[in-house]
Amino acid sequence: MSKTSVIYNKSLTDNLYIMGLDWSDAGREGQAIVPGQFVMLKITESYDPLLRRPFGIYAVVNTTAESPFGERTILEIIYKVVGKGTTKMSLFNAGEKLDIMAPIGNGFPDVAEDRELIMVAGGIGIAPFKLLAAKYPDSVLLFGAKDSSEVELVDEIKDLGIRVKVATQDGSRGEKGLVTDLIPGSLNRQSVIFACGPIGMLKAVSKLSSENRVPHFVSLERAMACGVGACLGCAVKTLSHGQEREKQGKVAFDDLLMVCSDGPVFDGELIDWKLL
Amino acid sequence: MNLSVDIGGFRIKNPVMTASGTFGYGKEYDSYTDLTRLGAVVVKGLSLKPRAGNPTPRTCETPCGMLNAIGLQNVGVDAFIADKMPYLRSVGVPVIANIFGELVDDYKEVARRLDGVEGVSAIEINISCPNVKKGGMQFGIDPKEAFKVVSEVRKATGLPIMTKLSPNVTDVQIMARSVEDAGSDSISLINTITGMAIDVDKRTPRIATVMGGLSGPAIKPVALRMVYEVAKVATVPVIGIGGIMTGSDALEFIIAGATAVQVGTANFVDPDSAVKVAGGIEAYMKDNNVGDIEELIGSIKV
Repeated sequence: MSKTSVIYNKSLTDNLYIMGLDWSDAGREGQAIVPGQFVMLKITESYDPLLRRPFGIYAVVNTTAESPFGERTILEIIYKVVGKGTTKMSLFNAGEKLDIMAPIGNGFPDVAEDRELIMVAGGIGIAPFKLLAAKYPDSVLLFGAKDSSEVELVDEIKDLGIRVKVATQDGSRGEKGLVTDLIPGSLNRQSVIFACGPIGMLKAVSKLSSENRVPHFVSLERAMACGVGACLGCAVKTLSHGQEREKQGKVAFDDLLMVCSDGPVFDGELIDWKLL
Repeated sequence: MNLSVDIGGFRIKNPVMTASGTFGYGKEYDSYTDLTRLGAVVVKGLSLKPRAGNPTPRTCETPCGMLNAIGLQNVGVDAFIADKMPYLRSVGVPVIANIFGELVDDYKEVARRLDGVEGVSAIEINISCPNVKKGGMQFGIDPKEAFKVVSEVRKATGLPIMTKLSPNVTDVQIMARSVEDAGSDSISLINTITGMAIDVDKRTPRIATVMGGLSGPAIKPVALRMVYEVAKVATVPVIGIGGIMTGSDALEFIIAGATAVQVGTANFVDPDSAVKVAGGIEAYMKDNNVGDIEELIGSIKV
C-alpha cells in the first residue's frame, strides 16, 4: 500500500476515462505486472467513500525525460463514471494524491506456443486486454458493447496491430448483436479464450466454450472490501476445486475462492455459474 | 512509558488488537503490516464444522461504513488449529480465538478443542449468532441464553474468556452483567449493528441476505456510548470496538472506560491501521506526559 499521484486523467467519452498513476517509486519497477491483475485504489482520505475500489490494470507506460510528464513509469486504469466515487475521480487533476495497493490478484495464465488466443471483452471489460494484445500479437480481440459510445476503447488496442472484431447491440458499429455471436466464427482447435466483461457475457462465453471444449479463463468481479483475501466478501463458489487446492498444498475444506486473492482470473470450467 | 494492559487473565503489550472477521487468520496481511506490533490478533470466528457462509453480494459500502453479511465462513476449528496456528505461532503475536455456534454444545466443543493449543491466549465468544434451539433468535439478545453459553464455555476451557456483546439489544448493561456473572474474564463490544441498503434501480437489497451488519466510522458514536455504559457496570476489563480508525478514536474508548480496543473495518482501508492506532495512543501519551495507560482508562470527566 503506497502513495501515488494522478499524472493524467483523460476522458475518452463523457463517462469513460483513462487515468495515469505515478508508478515511478523505487521498488515498483521490479514488479512485473501480469495482465489481469488489478489495483485497490483509495481516492480520498475522507471516510466517504470509505473503502478502496478495484480497477483492472490497463497499461504500464514508460515515458522519457523529453515527454510532458518527464521520465516516469505510469500505471493506467480505465473507469466508467457510475456513482459517487467515480464521479469524484473524473474531476481529479494531475497532482491529486491517492493511495494504491497494487498489483493485486492472479492474472491470466501464459498462452502456450501452439495455442491461439481469443480475447472476449464486454464494454469496460476490455481493461486487461491491452497488455495481453501487446504480449500476444497473433491474438484476436472480440469486443462487444451496447452502442458505439464505448467503442473508443477498442481503437487503442487496434493500434497494436492485432485482429479486432466488434459487435454492438444496436448495430451502430460492427456486427449487430452480442460479442458471443462473434465467437463461433473465430474458433479453431488451437483456441483458448480469455474473457472479461458483464456476468451475463461471461456465463454465455463459458457455456459456449464448454460446449466446444475450448479452454477458457474469465476475470470475475464481486463487491470487495479488503482486497487481500481476509474479509471473505468476494467469495465465489467453484465446482470440485477441492482437488486443485489439495494439489497446491492448501486446505481443501470447501470450494469457495476469493475473487481478490485467488482470482480475479479463474478457469471458467471450475466456476459454479448457477450461483453468480 | 507503559502501554501494556491486563485484559482479564493475561497481559498484552499494547491495548490495540485487530477485530474478528477483519484480519482473516493474520497471514493475509503479513506483507502489509507488522503483526508483532499488535497487542493481539483476534481471528475470524471459528465453528465446530467448516462453514461456507452466505451467497454474494456479501458487502456493500454505506456512508462512512459498510454492511457485511459474510455468514461466518470459516475453515472450522480443527483446520484452524492444524493449518492457521503454525504461522501465527511463528510470528509470536498473542492470538485470541473467536468462537461461535448454533447450539450451546457447539460453543462448548470448540472451546474444549482450543484449550491447551499452544499460541492461543484467549477465547472471544461471539454470541451474536442465531440459537437454533430457540427458533434462530440470537443468543446475544437474551441474557439467560447468553449466560448459558458463557457458563458452559467457562467449564470447557481454562483459557481467559472475552465475551463479545451485540449492540442490537434494548439494554446492553443487562447483557454485560449477565455475561460477567457467567464467568467472562473481559467483555468486548460492540459487534455490528443490523442495517440495510437498497439498490433503487433494481429495487433489490444490495446484499444477498437483505440485512447485514454495519461497521466503520458511522457506528462509532453508538459503540462509544455502549462501551461507556458497560464500563459503568462491569468489574472485568472492557474492550472497545466500533469505528476506530485513529489513535484519537481509540482514546475516546479508553477514556470512556475501555482497557483495550479492537480495530476492524479500518484494516480494509489501510492494512497498517491497527499499528498506526497504537502509535497514535503512544504519541498522545508522550504529548500529555502520561506515563502509564492505566491513568487514561475510564478517566472521563463527567
